Amino acid sequence: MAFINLKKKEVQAKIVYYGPGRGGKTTNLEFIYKKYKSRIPTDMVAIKTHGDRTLFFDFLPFDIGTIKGYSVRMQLYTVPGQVKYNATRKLVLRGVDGIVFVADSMQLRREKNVLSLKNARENLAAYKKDLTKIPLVMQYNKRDLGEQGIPLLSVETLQQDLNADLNVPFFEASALEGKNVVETLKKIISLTMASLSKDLT
Amino acid sequence: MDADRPSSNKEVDDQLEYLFAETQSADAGLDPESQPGPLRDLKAIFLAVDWEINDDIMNALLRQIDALKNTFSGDRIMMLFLQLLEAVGKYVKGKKAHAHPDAIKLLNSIYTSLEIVSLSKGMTDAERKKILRIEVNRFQRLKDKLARKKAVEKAAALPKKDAPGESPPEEIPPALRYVLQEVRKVIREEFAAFKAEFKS
Amino acid sequence: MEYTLDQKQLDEIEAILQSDFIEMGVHCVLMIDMAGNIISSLDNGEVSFDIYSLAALAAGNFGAVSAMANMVGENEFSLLFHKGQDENLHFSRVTGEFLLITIFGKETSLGFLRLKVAEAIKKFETILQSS
Repeated sequence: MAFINLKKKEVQAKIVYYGPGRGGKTTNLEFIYKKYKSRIPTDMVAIKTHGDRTLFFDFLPFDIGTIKGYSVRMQLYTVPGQVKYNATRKLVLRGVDGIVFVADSMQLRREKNVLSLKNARENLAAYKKDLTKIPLVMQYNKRDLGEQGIPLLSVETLQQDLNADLNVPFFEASALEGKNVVETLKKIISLTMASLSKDLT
Repeated sequence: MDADRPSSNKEVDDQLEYLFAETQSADAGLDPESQPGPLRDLKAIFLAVDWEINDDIMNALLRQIDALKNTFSGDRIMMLFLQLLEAVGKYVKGKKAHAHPDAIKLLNSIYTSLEIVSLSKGMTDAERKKILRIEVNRFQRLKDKLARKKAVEKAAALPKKDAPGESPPEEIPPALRYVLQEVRKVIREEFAAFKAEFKS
Repeated sequence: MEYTLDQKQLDEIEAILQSDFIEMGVHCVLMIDMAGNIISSLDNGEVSFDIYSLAALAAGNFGAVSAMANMVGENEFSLLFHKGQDENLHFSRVTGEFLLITIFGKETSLGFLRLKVAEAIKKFETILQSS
């Protein structure tokens, strides 16, 4: 539900980073915030628990400049990944325009990834949105952990588990090191803008 | 804001402090909640008005003012306060969302002053009148604002017929006009009597 | 869920925010959608809030409170109000999809503000229905 302000020639769209708990969604936003601080006029908003886990959402407004004569502002959100926070997770999805699914590459988290994606599908359905139709990018995060000898899922396995039907663009990433964080963001913005472009004249 | 007099009196100044601290309730001695009776009920209604303004609440306010008029029928200054309150209350009830924002402020300020005047023991009539006069002046200012606003609207509606300066009297709700006249008359009389008393 | 507002609608909304809220002494007023996007916003020139973050949090907060209302068997709570030392916040739903947020000081009566909000919502509904 992007808002296109024809008067101010401004587009506001909502991109949500989804995925299992401790998968690196907030770390994605933190990296973006650090890297583009000069273009982000405000502080990043984070509603966290004592244990530094996202309770409600993180929020980062991001000006990406002018596209087709419109000043475009992407509102980046993360959802709380923990299973018990589904009520708030669902609220954050309201009016979403594009989704980055941040999967955890650790072998241990294989099932959690699958469950989280299933949960995304259900929560979107509550808003009459379809995961197969909404702009979506897969990010296989924590690829750097392989160097430390932590067993990781292969990209093929991740693709098979998560992206076989959806067949959307994917990135191998390390949010902590910033690897492919920006590429993921660029891709989701471009897909989101493409889906909005029918409304931009 | 207030009409200063050269011989300001500390006690009155202290009362004015209360008066202008509109959101603060008065100290324990002045707290109507500790007093039984109709003033406490009036305070309760004012707290309700703070939250919500609708016909039920405004009718309750007007009924309570009536009840207080009986209680204070022998107290001229209190009667004038109550008439002021009634006039503004009726105006707000009639106008609702279209009321001038200052009318809501005035309603609260008249109430605060009424509370001070009615609960402060040992306040002289002159001090009470001084507080009353502040509210009457505010009332007058609101009246002027309403008249000006109406004149501007009229001028805008009828650009040919320009009527600057004096504002036509029918712009003030009849209830307000009547009470204002009464209040001014009584204050004039009271002050005349007070002066005469002072001279003799 | 999808909507667009044309220039005329946006102008009318802004005019109401100005005449019904800023002129009565409200510090800042925002119309947002339930996703947290800002439709229109005005302030009195004396305050400067991070309105984008405010909008995101307000939408989330409103959603959370609505969910709580449902849990206790209420359709929705009619008064959403946060009182502060100097600034107060009031939220009100406008049609199903929008939210009006007013930020005001202690010089403004909540009772009166609520009247103004109810009145303005009727006007907004007329404007929004024409889309």
